[in-house]
Amino acid sequence: MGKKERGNAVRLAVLDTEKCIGCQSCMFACSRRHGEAGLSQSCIGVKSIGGMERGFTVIVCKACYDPPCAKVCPTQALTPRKGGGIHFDADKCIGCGYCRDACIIGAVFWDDETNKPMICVHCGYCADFCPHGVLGLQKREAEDAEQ
Amino acid sequence: MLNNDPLANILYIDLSKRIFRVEKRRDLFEKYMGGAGVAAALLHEECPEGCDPLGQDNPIIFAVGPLTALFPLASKTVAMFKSPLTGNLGESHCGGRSAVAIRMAGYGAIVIKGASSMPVYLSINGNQVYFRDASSLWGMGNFATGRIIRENETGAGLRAIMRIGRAGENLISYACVTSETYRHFGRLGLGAIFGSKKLKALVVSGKSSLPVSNNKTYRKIYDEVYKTAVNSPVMKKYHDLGTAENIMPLNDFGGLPTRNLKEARFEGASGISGETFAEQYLGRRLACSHCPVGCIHIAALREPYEDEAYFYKTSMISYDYEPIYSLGSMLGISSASDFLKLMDKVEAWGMDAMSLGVILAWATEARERGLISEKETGGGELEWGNVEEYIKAAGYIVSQPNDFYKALARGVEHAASIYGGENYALAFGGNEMPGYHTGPGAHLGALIGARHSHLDNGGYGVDQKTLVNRKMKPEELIDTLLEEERWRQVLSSLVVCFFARGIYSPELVTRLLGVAGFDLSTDDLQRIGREIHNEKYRFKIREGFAVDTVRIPERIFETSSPINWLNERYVKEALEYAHKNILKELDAEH
Repeated sequence: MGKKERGNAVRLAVLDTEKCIGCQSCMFACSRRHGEAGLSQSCIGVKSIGGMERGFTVIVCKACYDPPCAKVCPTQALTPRKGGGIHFDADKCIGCGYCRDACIIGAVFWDDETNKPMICVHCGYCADFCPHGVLGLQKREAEDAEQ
Repeated sequence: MLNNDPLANILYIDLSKRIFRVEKRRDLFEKYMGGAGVAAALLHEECPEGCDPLGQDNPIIFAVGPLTALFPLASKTVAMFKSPLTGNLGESHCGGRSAVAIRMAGYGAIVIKGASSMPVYLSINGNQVYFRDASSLWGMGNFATGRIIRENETGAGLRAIMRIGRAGENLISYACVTSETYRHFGRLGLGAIFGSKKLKALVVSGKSSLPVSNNKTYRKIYDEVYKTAVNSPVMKKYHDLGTAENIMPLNDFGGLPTRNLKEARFEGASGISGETFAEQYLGRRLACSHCPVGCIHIAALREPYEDEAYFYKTSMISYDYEPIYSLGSMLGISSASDFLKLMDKVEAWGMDAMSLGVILAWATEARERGLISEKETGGGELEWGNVEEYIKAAGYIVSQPNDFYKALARGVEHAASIYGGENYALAFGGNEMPGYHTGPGAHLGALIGARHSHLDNGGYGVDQKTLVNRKMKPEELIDTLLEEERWRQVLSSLVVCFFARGIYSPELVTRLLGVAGFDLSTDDLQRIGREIHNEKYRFKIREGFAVDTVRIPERIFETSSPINWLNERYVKEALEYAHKNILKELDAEH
């Protein structure tokens, strides 16, 4: 993918996990954004690093430029998106779960009701509910934006 | 409530038979909403009159509320049981991930009865309940137990791991249950009941959806509550220094109980102030699930190895006002690091820090006055400010090598009934005193409070805000306290954190409840609050409590408080009036 194609794409980023206090407001926000109260529709996860005293890890799609989840999708339900991340076409998905296994950061969440993946669309709604700026939207302008 | 709200589901677990069932109890939740109200009703159903608190008939009841996982700051779990410390109503509240995890597992309440013949821990994941062998965990502390269960169970980030340490196993009457390492069902001995049932831990997790009456309204009101929680000045104290902020103002006010309340000002207060902890030790801030405030303050204590240079260990230890008072000023400990060392042990053993501090303070004074000797203390020194000796004594309470420590393990009132020194055995209704010698509001509040906790009615606040400016007749003070306590039944039935009481006004509560499908007016809420308070007092009376005969430790009159007209006659008059008021309410209900 060329440099030009990435211009102006805005993606959710975990800016500083060390500042996370584990309130999980982002998780509830994501579910609300999907029209549900509770947590079942959340595409972001916050868990402690082996005990809260050690801090937290925030798990969410990092918008890979060459996403492994799309590479293993046998039905092209998941396709790479310009500027990083993926498009999901639920009609094509057969619920095989390969994407979930392929994402080693665990950012492919699962909807047990539909038996299909739930992956962040980088809308940034969760970031509005992060009290400490752990999450934020970032412009992706250059090649080196991918870390 | 909404038809499809899983809140109505109650999970009943029988540890004797190792079976469980789920029952829909819309009736209870429609009537009392959840939390304290539903738990009190369940306690009446499940706890036989006069039962042994450590016998298998005593139920453990956990309840959450309709706003849990729906709105921020409604993340407390209410536990109810018959207390082994007071022999009466036991109620304690815990945050962490506990409430959201229970709600997301699909339950409004969990009732645990019976007793296991061998150590077990319960693993609840949605509609699956497993009884797991906990033999290898028995004898382990809070930290290690959490670590092992964390590795063995699923649901990271979505679970609560409630567990006991050795204090609970050894049936110490004020053993606590710890969740997420740093939050507690602290008061009144739930940990001992876990121990009596051979229940080492309970892990619960889930990730469900909740119904709302109107999605658009829901999002709108949510944004409003969230913004207030983050920006409101009423949350500032908890947001900044945390509850430890109170040490200096209370000391300046002359209401900080010191050395078993022989004094109410501590010359070493600045060494254990919220400012000192924040500047020198604060290492991390944590939040309960679904609370952006993050009031949990964790200190990082860096200590060198005893025998090797350039080797260090760093322990993470939580602190709050109440434990700093009870294990700090109450014991004459003026160094933050000494407090943290003691606190770390108390956390590992799993004891209510408040009760323990008051008990050790009484024992120190009893030793000073010669009521007990080295024979009782086992050679320990029990001396104000001597942290190593206090750590040793706390350890003896857990292991109980002699009759003296066995007595201390049952609370200060029990110990004083054997060894004397009752006038300075600082317990109200059998529960060791909280950290406020601010005046009649604080003491009467704890005496009449249904669980004898400072948070029952916030009497210390009445002292500091009102009584410092004007005197109240005993009747007026009691009416003020009871009105507040009745309103707090509403908050604790919605399991709203009391720190957020300034935000959750009656008007806001009715709107939030509307989203959850409860059509209630502010008048309805006041009525429900009264009913729940009555429900609790019915239980208290059934189990033998009477407000007008509650023991008053004379020490509260001997040490002057900021409200200098505090005296015995006033307190007795107030208690008599409270007694009548409570009985009148109970009669009116029939």
